[in-house]
Amino acid sequence: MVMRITNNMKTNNASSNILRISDQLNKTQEKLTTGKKINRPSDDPSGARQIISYRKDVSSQSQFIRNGEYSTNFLRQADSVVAGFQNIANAAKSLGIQGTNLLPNQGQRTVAASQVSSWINEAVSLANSTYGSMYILGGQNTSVSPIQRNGSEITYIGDNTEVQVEVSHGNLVSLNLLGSNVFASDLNAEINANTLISDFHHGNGVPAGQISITNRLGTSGTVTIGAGWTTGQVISAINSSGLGVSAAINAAGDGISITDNNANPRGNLVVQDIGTGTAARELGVIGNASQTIQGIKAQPAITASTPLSLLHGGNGITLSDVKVVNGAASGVVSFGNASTVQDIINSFNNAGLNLNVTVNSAGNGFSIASTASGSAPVVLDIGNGTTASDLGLGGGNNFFSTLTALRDAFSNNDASAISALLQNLGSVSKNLDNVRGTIGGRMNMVTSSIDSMTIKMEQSNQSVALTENDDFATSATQLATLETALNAALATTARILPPSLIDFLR
Amino acid sequence: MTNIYGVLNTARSSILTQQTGIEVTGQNLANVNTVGYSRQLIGMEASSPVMASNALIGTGVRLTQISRAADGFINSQLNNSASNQSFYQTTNRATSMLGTIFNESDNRGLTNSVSEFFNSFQDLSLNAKGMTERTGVLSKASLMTDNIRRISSDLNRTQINMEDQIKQNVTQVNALTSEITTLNKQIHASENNNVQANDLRDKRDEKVKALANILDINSYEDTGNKELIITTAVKGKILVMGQTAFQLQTSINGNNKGLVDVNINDGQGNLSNITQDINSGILKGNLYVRDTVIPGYMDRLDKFAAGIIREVNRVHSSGYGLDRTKGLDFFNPLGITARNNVNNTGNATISGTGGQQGFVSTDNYQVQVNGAGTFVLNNLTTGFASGTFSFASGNAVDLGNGMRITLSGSAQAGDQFTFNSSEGAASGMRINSAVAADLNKIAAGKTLFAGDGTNATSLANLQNSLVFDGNTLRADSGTVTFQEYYASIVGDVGVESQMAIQGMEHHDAIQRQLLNQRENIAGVSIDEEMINIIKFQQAYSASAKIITTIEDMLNTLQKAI
Repeated sequence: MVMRITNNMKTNNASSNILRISDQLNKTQEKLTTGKKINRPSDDPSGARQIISYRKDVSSQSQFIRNGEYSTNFLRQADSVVAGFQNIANAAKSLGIQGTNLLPNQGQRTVAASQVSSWINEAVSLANSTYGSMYILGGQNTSVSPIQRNGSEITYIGDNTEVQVEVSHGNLVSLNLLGSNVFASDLNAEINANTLISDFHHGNGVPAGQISITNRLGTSGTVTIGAGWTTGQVISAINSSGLGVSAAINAAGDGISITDNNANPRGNLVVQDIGTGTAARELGVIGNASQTIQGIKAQPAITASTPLSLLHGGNGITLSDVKVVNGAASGVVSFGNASTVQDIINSFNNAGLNLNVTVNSAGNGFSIASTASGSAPVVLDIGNGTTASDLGLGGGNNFFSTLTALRDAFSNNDASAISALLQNLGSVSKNLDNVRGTIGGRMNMVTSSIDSMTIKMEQSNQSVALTENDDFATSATQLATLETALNAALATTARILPPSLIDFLR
Repeated sequence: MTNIYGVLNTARSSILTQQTGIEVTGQNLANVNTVGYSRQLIGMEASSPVMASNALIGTGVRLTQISRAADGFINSQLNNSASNQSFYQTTNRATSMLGTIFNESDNRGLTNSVSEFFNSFQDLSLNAKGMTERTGVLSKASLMTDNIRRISSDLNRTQINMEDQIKQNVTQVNALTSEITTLNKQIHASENNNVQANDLRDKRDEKVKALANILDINSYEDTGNKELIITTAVKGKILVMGQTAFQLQTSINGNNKGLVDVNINDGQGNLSNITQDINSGILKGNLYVRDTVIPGYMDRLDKFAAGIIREVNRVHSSGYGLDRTKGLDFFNPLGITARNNVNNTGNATISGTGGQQGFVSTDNYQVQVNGAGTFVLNNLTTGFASGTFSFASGNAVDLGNGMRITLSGSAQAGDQFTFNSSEGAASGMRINSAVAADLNKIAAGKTLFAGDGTNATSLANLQNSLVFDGNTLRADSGTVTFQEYYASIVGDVGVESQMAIQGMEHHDAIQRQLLNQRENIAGVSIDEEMINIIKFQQAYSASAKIITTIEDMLNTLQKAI
């Protein structure tokens, strides 16, 4: 039997074919008008998935480029600040060279001294320069001005960790500079059990008070901190709180950490101040942690009894002989088996050179004065030694103490000091050269990272485009083909549907 | 001997029968566009002959029956295919909705807001005490949480929409089954005296097809009383038995967030649950999307949100704010959602704590009580058992994954409980109000120094750390990042939707094929009917000619007299 083709079959087939072509036309039209071949996840699930990854790449790459551009601007600013220091250092060196010729004339002497004074003031304002709201030379302690001026003494009270910026994944570039490398050295002492909490924070100290500790079992207790306690006393007071928590000097050696050793913990270890007290905050132990609260930096001032092993972040200090010129007297100071700060002070003061060495006001270096009148002592490193500059007495990174010594030499009419200072002035400007070199190195790194990141971002954008963007030529051809198909379907339908036997019976 | 009046009778039977033929053709043409109409055929036979001088002479034609051209096999194929087609149509509608919810094709999707959120911490790391940067972090965070909550509530709304449709489907099924019983009754009554109730049967076929659209059924006709018996395709639960319909009824499932199950009422008020026995049709489509598709994506979105909450909080609470506080969560911490299985025989209830911890597992867990004071912990996300624990009523048990649970009351062996820390993480994702209210509380530094942005860098780097392994959140030992995990959700939505489209197109084609086959047999062809008209008309005219011929013959005879 032949297949019976009914009118409904003809109309159904015609309409389903026309609808199918229209649907394809609609999809092609969407592709052409949006310019994308993926307009919803179902258009190409794996492509949709890839696009998300590419987009995420583009977004983090553009952020890295932003970081890089920020770093470039920051480093440019830092470079100009250091260049300012360098100009002053070079001018001071020229003045030092002319120095002995200027001395006989009282007027020229005074002018030279005041010239140096104004340079020092200029350098102080340079040292306090900021980029945005960040001190360029303050380490991570960017909110406190890195310079502390106490009489004629200028010390660095900033931090000894650099702010770092990520310029590509996992690649950190240090941004700002440590004042201790540029203009005033910092002995950066750690703490031990004997460190008085009154010496914390450059000698600003921790006030007496009560701190509240809640252990991981939820039990709270109060520990009373007495004025003038040592770090050891604080630790044993916390250890004997009966809360099952133990305090210790933290792994970095620069603060106090508290650990909760209770089994079956229910919550976090919480340490806080009580009321308006600030003892916990200044001890650096405020926290809410699952087991250990790592204390933060105590930055203690050194005292006579501070062991030398605590200096330079616990690395200790290597002491080599230094030469001291003090007016007519001059000689070499040796430190023998010095083990404490007091030993260093004794070595200077007992050398018979009329010296009075003391710990500086920030507690992170030394200052030197003459006990005889009319002379300004100058401390010089011998050979490759760096002891004088490490202690804050010589050249190198001691821009301010070197300039202060130059000023004092002029005002005291001390010819031998001026000659001796030429060496320190030289090493100060050499140190600044090195700092600028470091900045240049960072700048190179940032620039090359921006370049490679820009290339990567272009590639990622290209990948997005390749995956997502529609090929105009293909879709346009497809559109034309579909139009033809639709016309054919419509024309066929128009020819097939109307004829019926009725047409011929009339 | 023949009778001249007998010839008139023969012609009369022909005229009347041919006229019925025209009537049937008229009915066919009238219903050429009626959906479900089967073309009707007139059956004729020669009426019983009479004996006339040693020969049997015919007495004309007799109408035997008006039957319909229908093929029961194709009809049942059509019903099966209708169930499948509607299943894919329903899932296609729902999954294309999901495609819109998870649309990432313009650059304004969730991925972008997640990237912007993490990048805002990079900006903050450059200038840790900058208020502009801190405001930036908060605004990007709220943009991201808004986006995640929007997706979550869209999913939730879609699920509620499915729930409403399921309830409607049940009402539709009940209306259809009771209409079928009415038709059964009418057909039974009409066909008792051996006539075919063609139009009633067409109508019943249509109702059965409409029913098959909603759920997969089997139907067969009782040859005795011509009544249909309809059962579910799986397990053969009876829906229609002749003139009795067994109504569907919904009941609330306490183990499925209070969404409804579908039951058959046996007429005596006993419900038998057929939710799992429905395999096709609109109802299955709605059930599948409501119970499998949406909960799957909700769970993964929750895991995604819980991952960001837990990891960001963990790093954030280890840093210091500008106001020197430490240990604050950036987002509201996770909580433990614990549920009792409503089928438990004991009366124990479960509660849990520990969701706020930085190492809490975000997997789904099940507690199965073993018997005397011990239970087995199963990780439903990974599919592995996580050990056996002893417990005492009312005492917290430390599970070692950051969570502690307490079973209070008396638990019986076999009782089950489920709990996790991620449920509702997406819908409840919000910035900790303490942080939102005070910009200084954003912990950018690892130290108290205001310029320290190292913690912000660590937070920004979370977007590059490999946090997810499958659906399990691990801190650093996973295989994919947050964005890759989210991309896999979007990719799967695409695949799901693509599968629904392909399934629909496939079954559309089958349906079209079968409809053409049905048309081949049952459809009305105008041409054919026109031919029939001519056929019947000519027979009618020819029979009329017989009458006039007989009339002439009678006139001839009368003249002879």
